[in-house]
Amino acid sequence: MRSRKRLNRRGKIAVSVLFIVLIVLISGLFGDNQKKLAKEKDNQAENTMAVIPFSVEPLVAFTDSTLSRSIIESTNEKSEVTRKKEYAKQNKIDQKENAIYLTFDDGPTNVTDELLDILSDYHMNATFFMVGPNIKQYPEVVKRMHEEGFGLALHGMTHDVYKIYRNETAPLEEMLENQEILSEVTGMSTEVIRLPYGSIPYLTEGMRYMLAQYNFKIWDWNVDSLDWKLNNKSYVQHTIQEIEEMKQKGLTPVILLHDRQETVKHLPKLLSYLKEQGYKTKILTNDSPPLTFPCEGRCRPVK
Amino acid sequence: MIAFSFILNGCQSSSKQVTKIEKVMDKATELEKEFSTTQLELLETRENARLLYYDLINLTISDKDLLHQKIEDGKTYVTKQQQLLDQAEESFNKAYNTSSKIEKSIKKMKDDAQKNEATKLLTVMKERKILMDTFFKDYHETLQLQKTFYQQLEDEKIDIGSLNQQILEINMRTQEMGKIIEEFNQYTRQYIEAEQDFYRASESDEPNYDA
Repeated sequence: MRSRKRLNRRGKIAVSVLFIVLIVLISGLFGDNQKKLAKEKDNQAENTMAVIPFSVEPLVAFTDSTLSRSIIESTNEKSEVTRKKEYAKQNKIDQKENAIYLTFDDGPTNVTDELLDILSDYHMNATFFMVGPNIKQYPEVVKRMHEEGFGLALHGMTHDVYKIYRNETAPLEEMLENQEILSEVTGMSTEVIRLPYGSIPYLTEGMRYMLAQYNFKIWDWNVDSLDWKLNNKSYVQHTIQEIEEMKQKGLTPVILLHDRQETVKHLPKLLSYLKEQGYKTKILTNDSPPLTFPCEGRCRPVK
Repeated sequence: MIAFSFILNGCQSSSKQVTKIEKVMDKATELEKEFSTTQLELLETRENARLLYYDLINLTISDKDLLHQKIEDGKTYVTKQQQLLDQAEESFNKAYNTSSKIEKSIKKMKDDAQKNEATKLLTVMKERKILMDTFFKDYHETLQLQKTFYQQLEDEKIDIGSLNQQILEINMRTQEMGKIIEEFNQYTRQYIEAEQDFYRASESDEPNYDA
């Protein structure tokens, strides 16, 4: 039987070295593969990890568009047809009653109490188009108006053409604020409004549309007393002449007056005339179809 | 000799994790390709929708037939964007869910340098995910606004103020989405760098046979 040969010392060292070299070689190959893959990876990453494109260009505002303007014009046209019909209907009723509408703008003031006293003495009614800050300044007289059955209406906040017409939403914003103030003082809400200096020429179609969306009724007038201009008793005679012209035309007078000292001073003379003629003074309400100056191409933004 | 074998075995273990991470990232990258492609389609559709909006608002209310057609086209673009957005969301989430699996491998890594680089990768991926989730949410809301806009026009429930407000909101969200994408793209660039750093770290503990 052959005896098993054993490795001598040199043999053992040789085998160990071979073993180590083998391990190192295998690891080296593996590392090479990793390097190659890493390089491939670099290329792949550049090709597939793309940044995302995205445009932030804004859309044009809808209100600035042709479509928006045509919608506004079309809506306003239809509203105007309706308004004229209803106003004509109301006018017939008013004519039968010999009605007349007295309106006082820009109050309340320090003479409003006196004005109310005069109207009460003559058993006559009127509608007051009031400015927000003035309502805050004279809340008691406004409460008195409400309690005694006078017409309460809105005239904005600033009475400044460059403020109230500064952009398309400005008239609406002023009237909403004015409405809020009046409601806080009296507990009542009104949709009856008059723009400072009237709706022509600065109340544009867009502004009218916005006000209509909130059910505001835009009131102008057909008799201008010119009390603000004449500033003396001559406004009374002028007003009487205008009233008679309206009567001849079969139209119910809506008179523009102002809550101011000189007007109040000579008011009894005007009221006496109205009494003699048997006029019935009525107030404007949310249900009254308004007398509004139509644009008919005359409206333009304030410069 | 045995001890030396064990040391070499430790190295092999880190290499094993690197290999695993590689495979996962390969797959995730492939899925992100789909996401990128869909985003390009979304960009194109969005641009077409924008041009259509300009055509629409240049009509007048009396152009009834043309108006109706544009409204229908507008609604179609909204639907198309919705579909593409859902697709993009799905492929991005798949890519992210795949790539987040590297977290397990990172925990098993013994080499600190490799582990740090891999952790950076993971962190950047998470940031991208947060941003993209916000982007998708905003985009969905924007599409809802567009849908409402066209529906109101179609129903002739025309409130100029309301229609305009929707456009203003869409514009506001567009700006926000733009910022998100800008940030996302920065993270994408960081991701590319982090990936390269990771592979460099993976190479550095191998014997240098080029010397």
